[in-house]
Amino acid sequence: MANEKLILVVDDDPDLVESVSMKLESENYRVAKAYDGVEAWEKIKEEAPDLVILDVMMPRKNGYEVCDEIKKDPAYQQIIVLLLTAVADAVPNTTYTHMDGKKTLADDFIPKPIDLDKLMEIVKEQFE
Amino acid sequence: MSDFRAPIRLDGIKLSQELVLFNLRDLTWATSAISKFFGYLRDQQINLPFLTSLCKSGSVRVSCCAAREDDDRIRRHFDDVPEFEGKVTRVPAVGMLSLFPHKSRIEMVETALSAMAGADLAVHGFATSISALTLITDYRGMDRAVAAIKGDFDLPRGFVPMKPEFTLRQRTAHKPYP
Amino acid sequence: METIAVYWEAIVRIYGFTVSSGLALLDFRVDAEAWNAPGAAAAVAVCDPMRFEAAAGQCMDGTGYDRSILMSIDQVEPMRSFIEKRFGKHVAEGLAVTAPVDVISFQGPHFGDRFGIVDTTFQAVEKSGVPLLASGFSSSTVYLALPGGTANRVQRCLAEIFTVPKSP
Repeated sequence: MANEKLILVVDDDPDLVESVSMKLESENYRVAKAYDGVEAWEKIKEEAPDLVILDVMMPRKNGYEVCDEIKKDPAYQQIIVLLLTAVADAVPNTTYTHMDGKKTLADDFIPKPIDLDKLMEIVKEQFE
Repeated sequence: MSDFRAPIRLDGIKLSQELVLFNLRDLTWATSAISKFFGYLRDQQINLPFLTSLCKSGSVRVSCCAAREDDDRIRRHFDDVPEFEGKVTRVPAVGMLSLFPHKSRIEMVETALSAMAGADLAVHGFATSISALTLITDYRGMDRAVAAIKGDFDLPRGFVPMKPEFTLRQRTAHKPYP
Repeated sequence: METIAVYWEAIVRIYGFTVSSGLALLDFRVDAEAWNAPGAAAAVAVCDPMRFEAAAGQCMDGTGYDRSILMSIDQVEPMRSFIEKRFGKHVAEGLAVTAPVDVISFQGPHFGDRFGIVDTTFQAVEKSGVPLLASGFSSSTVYLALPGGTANRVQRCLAEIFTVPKSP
């Protein structure tokens, strides 16, 4: 039976979107998908997800910008945001480090890659 | 039997920068040439965003793409290694067109290949990943390829193909295989 | 084009390994004439739904495609029938089937942008001593097709350098 919770998966890597979506659907969540920050924001307005799994490094609009827009908009700020961030020691020369992620208003920060079973645990914890 | 099927739905198309394609044939895994080639690429920090290999009756064929700026270094390597003589062909000015999701459906792959053939567009190779079907086509024909795909698939309203806006580089090699 | 990030890691982190067993590897050659044969495109419209694990094509000499498809064994005959309708009997008669086949797949962040992934993968397969039937590296995924019953041996060698982080 489908869960009533809707999760939006956002990443410019379609393979990761597919893997995460399949895992979520196997746990009976409903899933929507987007592949950059502009599309993510459109999907948020159309579908009002309960939780967004949001990549940071994306074309057109990055995940930090999308997260800030969600959390500063009274209509959407209740949406749970999980940021997928590059691990600091793996990506030292970038503005998109894990440490920078902690300055945003996201509800949690998950370094890539992550074991998908662990990601499901984090999602469940956020909903509890 | 009906000859009509609703267009297959895609979420998007990703386009690459300009690449060069190399086809290697009539090699074997037992020779050192192939492993030396990949080791050379690693030492030179050359990335391969696309590769397929097939081994038939002990003969290995490899088809791989590299960035245009790496073309000269790769060609020099092939020129320097006698085992590659007569076994390498090169196709310059190609690009990757990645359509997703394929949903593991054969008819999606066949529809894409038919769309390209119908528009008289070359497909120099292709491969699937978890979600995407990646076609290697002529770089200068990529806009026409997008139009051909749009004609035979159902894409989202306001669809714009994803083009690379930034690169990610690897600074140093991960540890050598133990 | 701007470079916005540089990777450095001593090991290669991935999301996990997926192993599928008991598959079939189909390979066949489609020459240019068969590709453009009347009815070739129409055959696609009436194709029965069939699923694949992975598919690839190589165009070595510009005269046709060498195609390979990994799929479940029970779909081999429907696929053979489709190939005959689409490309002609001579192509279907040239279809080679290798079974059983194991497939290992794995994906990692930005695999398509980072050098050394191919070299590391092939070194691991070589260390295992298992012959590699086919491989595909595209987007951020790697597929390796191996003789049936050998996937675990190869995965053990891959796991020495490709690791799955257990906790954030």
